[in-house]
Amino acid sequence: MIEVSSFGDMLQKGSFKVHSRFEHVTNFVADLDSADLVSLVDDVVGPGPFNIVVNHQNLEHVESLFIDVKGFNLAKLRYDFEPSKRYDSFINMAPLKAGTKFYRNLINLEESITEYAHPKSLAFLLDEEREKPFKGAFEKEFVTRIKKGIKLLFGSDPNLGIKILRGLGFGLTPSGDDFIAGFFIAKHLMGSEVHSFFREALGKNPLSNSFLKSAEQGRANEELKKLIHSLFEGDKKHVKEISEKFMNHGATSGADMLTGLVISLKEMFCENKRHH
Amino acid sequence: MKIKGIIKKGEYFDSVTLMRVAQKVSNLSGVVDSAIIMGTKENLSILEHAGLNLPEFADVSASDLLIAISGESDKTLSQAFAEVEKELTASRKKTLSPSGTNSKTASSINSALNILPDANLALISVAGRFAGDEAMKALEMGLHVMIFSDNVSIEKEIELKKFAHAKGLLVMGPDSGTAIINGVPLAFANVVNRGEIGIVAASGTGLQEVSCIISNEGAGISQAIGTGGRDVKKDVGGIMFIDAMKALDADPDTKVILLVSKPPHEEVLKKIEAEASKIRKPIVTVFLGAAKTTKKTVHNLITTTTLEEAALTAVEISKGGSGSKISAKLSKIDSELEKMAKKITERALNKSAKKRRYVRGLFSGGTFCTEAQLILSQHVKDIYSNAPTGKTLKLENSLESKKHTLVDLGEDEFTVGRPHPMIDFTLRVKRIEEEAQDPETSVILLDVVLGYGSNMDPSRELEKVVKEASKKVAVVCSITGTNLDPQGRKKIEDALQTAGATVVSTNRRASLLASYIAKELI
Repeated sequence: MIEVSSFGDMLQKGSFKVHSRFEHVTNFVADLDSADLVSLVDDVVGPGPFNIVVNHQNLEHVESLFIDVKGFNLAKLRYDFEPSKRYDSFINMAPLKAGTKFYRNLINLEESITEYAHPKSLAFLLDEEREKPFKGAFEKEFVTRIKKGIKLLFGSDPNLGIKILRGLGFGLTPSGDDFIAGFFIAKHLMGSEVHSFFREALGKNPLSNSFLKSAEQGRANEELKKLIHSLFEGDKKHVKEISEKFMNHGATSGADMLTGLVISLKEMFCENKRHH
Repeated sequence: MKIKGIIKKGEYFDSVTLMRVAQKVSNLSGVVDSAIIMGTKENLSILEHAGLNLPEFADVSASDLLIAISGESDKTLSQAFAEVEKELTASRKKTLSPSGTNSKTASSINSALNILPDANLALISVAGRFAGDEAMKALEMGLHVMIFSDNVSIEKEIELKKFAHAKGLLVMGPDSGTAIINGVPLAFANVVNRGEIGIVAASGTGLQEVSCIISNEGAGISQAIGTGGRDVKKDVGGIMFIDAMKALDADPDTKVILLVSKPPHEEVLKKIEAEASKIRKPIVTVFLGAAKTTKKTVHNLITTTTLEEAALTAVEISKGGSGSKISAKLSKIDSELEKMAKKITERALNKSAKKRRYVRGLFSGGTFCTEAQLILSQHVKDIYSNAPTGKTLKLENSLESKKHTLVDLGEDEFTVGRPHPMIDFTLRVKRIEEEAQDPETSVILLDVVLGYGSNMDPSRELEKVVKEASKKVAVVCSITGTNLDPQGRKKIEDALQTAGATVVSTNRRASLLASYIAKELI
């Protein structure tokens, strides 16, 4: 018997089939080209725009689910959405003005990433020493391409930068896609639009597409919202604790996304300074 | 060079798994390069650049997993792909049934409660920065909590304990290394008899020592609640110490209550005494370093000054006595220890070597180090420690002994990045060698703590170094443990004695013996 403790506010109606299964997550998609994802997660992952938080992951026999306005059907059982359990994923804040505290915490976040991130994450973009584990022709070329994409993104041709980063790298959601998600969140925090970039960023990966879609709309899972909140309100210790917890989940995606967020915000702050 | 590739459709793995597998493959002899990535256009472009793109990859989709390996021979590639399959299959099994029908693993407190719905205690042992939040989750679900983790802030500790107190729950810890609840040893703990003596301890090895002495004397433990060392400090205010006293008062199986700690803050001590005055059961206290008060402020409170005295007093009371015979018993033991010291000094040490006169204590239990300092300071001067108490002076460099030196090897400077000295004897063995080489050392004093969580074969690790050291100095060991412990107390005792150590049954006796030896050499 499943108990639902939360459901996301970007869930779409329709039929979904199992896409992938992990220890804490079972992903369902409508079709491979879409950005319509439903993730049944446990409380280790927690609430998110596409997440339904359930009390266990014994779902190996479940192949599909169906969502309508009032709830969902799973393995012949019916679960209604209770309005009080709806998770609000929107990162609700006014456009960012770089206060000292926020900027200091951004540096704290950067330190946390370089200290704690997986060796093969994008943290090498913040600390050159971390390039050392990338060996072999494939990995070295990956590093070169990522750097090139980022240079273009914040330089002469952002759209081309997005095209280079999209789908690039390791994991089910490639590193480049996670970086772009961080970029979109940064843009949202700065009050800037990202629609044109979003079209370039979409690929054939439904998981990436859904994360990018939520990031484009300024929406995030609960852990990321808490982390962003800590940048405004927290101290160094708090930022470290939350960011390490965030990087513990989702393999390298967390660290890659945060790297994208940090680099993007720093670039945007510099850009703002130049214009003022 | 040979290149081979395969496509896995509809199979998904997280990036860490794929990187780990790729790393393993890269380390295989004969493998030149490898890539395990999703078949996105961009990744195909890199494969092309790296010389790993293959014709069969032409029609892949972004959802396909590609595995491309280059190596010296077909045989190398076969082995490499076999390794990939093996690793991915193992990962898949773990993903699909991390808590499958026969598995008892859980990934969160919630999922743990699904497996054990009747559980009412959570033992938390995660990195300190996460432990506080996990403890709060458990408390919110109505569980008592034992926090084995250290590095939890004092603010968090206070928050947790206030919350728990309001809900009628216990929080043991943080940094609570040991407890015995309903006869079940938790974390570092010994297998002891069940009985009528309930313990509240703000000291892990203190709890272990008294519970073992009690059991070895034929009595037993009802409950042993460890509160963590900070609980009796001013900031925390003894919240859990007091609640634990109340719990033991209400426990029908507990007839005698034993309180163990370093001296509580004076405000906390008043609270403890106030609570004790409401309890009808006899209470024995040992607050190491506090003066023994002859004035009875609370009618049923008996104060003692050492762990052994406290344990033996509790045993006597549990057997119907008053505790008054213990002083005489200990005096008799002490006389025997003095005689033993004379024999050791004559037999083992060359008295003409005037330089050999100092005690060097190397402790895995902080409380034992404290108790040893208090005992030694009654007999000799010039005592140094990295964790000083009372008259003991602070050791400037924890790695270099000075005159009489008692070292707590469980302090941070020794344990950062390595296991606790109760588990890993590496540092202690090295230090024993060094101290034995020092011409000023006369006695090496050691505690050996048995039980769950501790080193499973202490005699094997210590025999050789004790044997070598005892050719030059006296080696005195105490053993904290019972014959029911997994290591077997008698077996360890015999092995250390055979190696040349003088083994006694309590830290008090070992410290006193070392003190008498040192006095003989003055």
